[in-house]
Amino acid sequence: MKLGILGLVLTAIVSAEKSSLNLNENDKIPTNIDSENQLNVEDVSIEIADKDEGHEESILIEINTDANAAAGGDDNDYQAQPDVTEAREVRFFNENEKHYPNSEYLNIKPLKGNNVLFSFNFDVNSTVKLYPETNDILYYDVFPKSVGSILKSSNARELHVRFAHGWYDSELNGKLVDNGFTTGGTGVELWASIEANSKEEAFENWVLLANSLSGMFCSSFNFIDKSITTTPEKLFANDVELEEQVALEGNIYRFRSALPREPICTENLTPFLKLLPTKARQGISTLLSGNKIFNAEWSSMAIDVVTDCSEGDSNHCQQSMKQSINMILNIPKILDRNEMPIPKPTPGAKLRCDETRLFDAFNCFPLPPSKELDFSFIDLFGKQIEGGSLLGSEPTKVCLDIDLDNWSVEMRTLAPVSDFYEDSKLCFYLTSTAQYNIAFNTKDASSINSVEAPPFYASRSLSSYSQDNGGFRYDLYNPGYEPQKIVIFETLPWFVRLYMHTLTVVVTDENGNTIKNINVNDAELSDYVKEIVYNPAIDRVAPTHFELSIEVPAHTKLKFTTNFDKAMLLYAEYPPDANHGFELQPTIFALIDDNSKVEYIMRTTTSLLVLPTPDFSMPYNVIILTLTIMSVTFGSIFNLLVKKTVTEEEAEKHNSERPLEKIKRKIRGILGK
Amino acid sequence: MFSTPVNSYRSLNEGIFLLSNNLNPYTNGEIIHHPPILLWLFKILKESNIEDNFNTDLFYSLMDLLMCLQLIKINRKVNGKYGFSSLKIACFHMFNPFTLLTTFSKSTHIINNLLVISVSSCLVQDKFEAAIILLGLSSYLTYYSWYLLIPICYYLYVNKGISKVIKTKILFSLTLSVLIGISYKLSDDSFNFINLCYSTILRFKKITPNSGLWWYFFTEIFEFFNDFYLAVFNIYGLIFVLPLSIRFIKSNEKMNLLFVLWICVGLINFAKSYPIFADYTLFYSSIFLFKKYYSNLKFSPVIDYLFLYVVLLQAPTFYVVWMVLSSGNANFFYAIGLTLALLESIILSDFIWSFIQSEYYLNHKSDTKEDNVPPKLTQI
Repeated sequence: MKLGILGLVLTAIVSAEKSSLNLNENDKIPTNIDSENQLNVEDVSIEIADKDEGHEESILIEINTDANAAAGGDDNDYQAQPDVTEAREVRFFNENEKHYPNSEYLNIKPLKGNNVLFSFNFDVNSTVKLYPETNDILYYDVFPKSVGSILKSSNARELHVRFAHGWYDSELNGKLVDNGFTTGGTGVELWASIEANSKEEAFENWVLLANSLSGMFCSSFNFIDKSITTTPEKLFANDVELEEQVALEGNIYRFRSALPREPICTENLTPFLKLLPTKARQGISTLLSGNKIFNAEWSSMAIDVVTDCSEGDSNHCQQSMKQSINMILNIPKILDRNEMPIPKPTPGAKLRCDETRLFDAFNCFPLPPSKELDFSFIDLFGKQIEGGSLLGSEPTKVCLDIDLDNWSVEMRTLAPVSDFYEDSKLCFYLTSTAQYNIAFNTKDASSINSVEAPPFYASRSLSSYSQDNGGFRYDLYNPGYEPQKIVIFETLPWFVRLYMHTLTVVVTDENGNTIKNINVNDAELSDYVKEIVYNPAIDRVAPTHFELSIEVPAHTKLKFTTNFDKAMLLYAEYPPDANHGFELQPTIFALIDDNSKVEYIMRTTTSLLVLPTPDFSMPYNVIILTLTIMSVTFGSIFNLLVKKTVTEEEAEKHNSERPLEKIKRKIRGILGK
Repeated sequence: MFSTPVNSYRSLNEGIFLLSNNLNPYTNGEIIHHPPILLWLFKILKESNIEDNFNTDLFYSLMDLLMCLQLIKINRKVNGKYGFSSLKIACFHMFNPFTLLTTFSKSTHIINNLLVISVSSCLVQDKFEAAIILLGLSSYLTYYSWYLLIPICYYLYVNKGISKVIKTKILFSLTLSVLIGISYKLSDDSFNFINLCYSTILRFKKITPNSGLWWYFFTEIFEFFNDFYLAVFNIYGLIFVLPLSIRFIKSNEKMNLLFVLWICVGLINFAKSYPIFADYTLFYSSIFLFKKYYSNLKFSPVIDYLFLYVVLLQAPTFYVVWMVLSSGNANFFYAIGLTLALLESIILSDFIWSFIQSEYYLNHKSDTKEDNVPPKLTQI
């Protein structure tokens, strides 16, 4: 029955005059229900290129042929399966309805220090079955098939990926976008909820998931193994509690891992853009090009896939994928780079000098950076927006959170544009295929809409410069009027041997006057540290993982310190540039409310840990010298034990009776000496 | 140098901290490598606190004092009026920089030192059962002490026959079983402590720079050969014990047994995976018990000690130069470890040779010439 419909689908498409048809493997498509070939059909891809509209729609149909299940499957069972695709055929064939469940949104906000924040957000939705039958046809329209099949094979119900680089200065830039939920720490980070019957099975799927993503995003996720994976307890809760919504076949297991040394670059961006329905050929994603956005002061890419069965039916769950890119661009820096791709000294005529001070051909006291800015999308991204996304269920929206009294904004496009205000932001809908470019001009870039301050400030630093031990220092400052509950989440590699008993807390007021010094034995510790979750490390097997639940009183700074020893690694375990040091992944600080729900989450920078290193040119010398000492000792003691003790006279006598001596004497006799 | 993962006071503290917070360090993670009974003992001593209290200070002082007393007892028993006076032995031990450093570093190894000395003391007093039980305890704490069972058994075999040896072995295994049974219960019905305490020593899992021969070798060795050399290094320590016993232990000679035990301790120091200062304390404090062999030494103990101090002063210097100042690298520290090993090897063979000579003179008393100058000896 199902294949019958597929046949119909094909006929219908061929008969559509506007569309050009491109079938892969169409010779394999079965026309007969009883045919044995039907199990060979792995992938049927139908592409409709709609030339008139100037954009592409890509619709993929995957027939789920699981080899294992197919082996035991029976043709009769196959026929008897319920038809689940009917509801979607309507959507698939409606020529007039070109809107798929996805939307995109760009927010632009100038910040202090001539910085501008760009937030790109892309949402995609689809309906999935939690437990697809072996021979179900799986439909992918805007939801990327590559992600869908990875999720299916690893049974992942939630997937979160973060790529970030640069430093986010929360004192200057304020609160993180979206309360930190869509930003990551330096490097890459991955966490997922996996449904499985046992933890071992879940872990296998986790490794499978990481390996698949590694190939997909050209990143080192394949290095994720037991020694860097943790199971978070207080943070990284599921966005959706599936267990409460439907009866699951297995249990949900959560895993998290991060690779702080991973450099984020173009090869991560390109696959990221490929997942978008517009494939970076239309809509706001056309602005994103690798050679420009990684000039940012700070950038973060995020992918969040969540399965939501809030209707209580495991056959109709919503799978939503949210992709976002946040970045902070320093405008003068980028304009300079456009002008001079290779940095050169500013020519004398262009120097901005303070003329009130000593100023002549040889002296120039520089002025503070200019507050005048004049730029457009073309300056920043080298491109303009190539039309709005016409696939989306909502039109592409661009909003400017800008102080319009001091900034002038010009929308440069040939299409009619309507602007409107939303929460004091100036917004536009991009509804045509025309190009859009927005130009900004200001005389005073420092006048910006107010930046919301973060609820707390936190940082981590390393103390001690010795190579065999060290310490961590965590600083936490609550500027608010209410006490805050904060969770510190830390994962350390096994070669950091943490001593939890060295934990001390120093409580200071806002001016830095010490109020209290507390160590682990003090009863007062429980006033500040409410709970410690601690999983000690196992060498080469598991990382140190701890989560501290802390209560920070209002207007108070807390300083936590712990000490650790550094382990020596084996010769082959050191990376090629061992003296560069080892990156420690960012510590995560999260503000939680009374129900343990995360309200704000931020990550510190990575730390660079220097481990003791051996001399890498020494293996042969060490082996030879050590073994020499050992054999010399062995030899001398062995000799002492087994040899016969005599006086020297006896020894000489004995020596003279040795056959060799006798022969020597004879030869001497013959020679006449 | 003063502490290694297997006997560090700091990781003991961490263990106590985890234990008093209801986290069993023997089933979670790899933090502590001390045997469970020791951890519980310290937990009681320190009243679950991390900071040092009067109890721990008293404990360490007591360990030192008892060790000194045992040394004096042995000295009186075996040397009589030929050895050093008791006061000298006490001074040599108490003001020995090794002893002071060991006590200040609070390494738990000091307990083992006391046990080994007590074993020797019991042996010279013919309290064999007590000696074996103490030896069992010492083996439980540091693994290597069971090597000393071989010379003791051989001594019993020579003097009292095979049945006594079997009894001794049964007593020894009984002691160990009881201790391991208690540990099993203490660590929440888990045998993981065996892996943590003994497998770490044998397999040299935690590589930390120390004054021994192992650490740099196993850092640098190619992974392919790792297991082979682990076996070689482990066998190396054991290989001397039986030949030494057979060669030197004669019937009813307490001094010989004591000498073999002492040489074995020295060789274990030389060949063990995590040697620390405390090990040298045991060996070099006992050097004064063997005054009667001094006359035949090539280098007098004074010179040995001078060399030792020079080497051991350089060891921390090179360690700091490498670790803290980063102006030297690992080779400096390794070189000083090698020198120390060489020195130990010289001292050991010197004493063995001196012992052999004394033995020869004793057996050939009639051969000594009229002018009372002993003949020069050699070996063929």
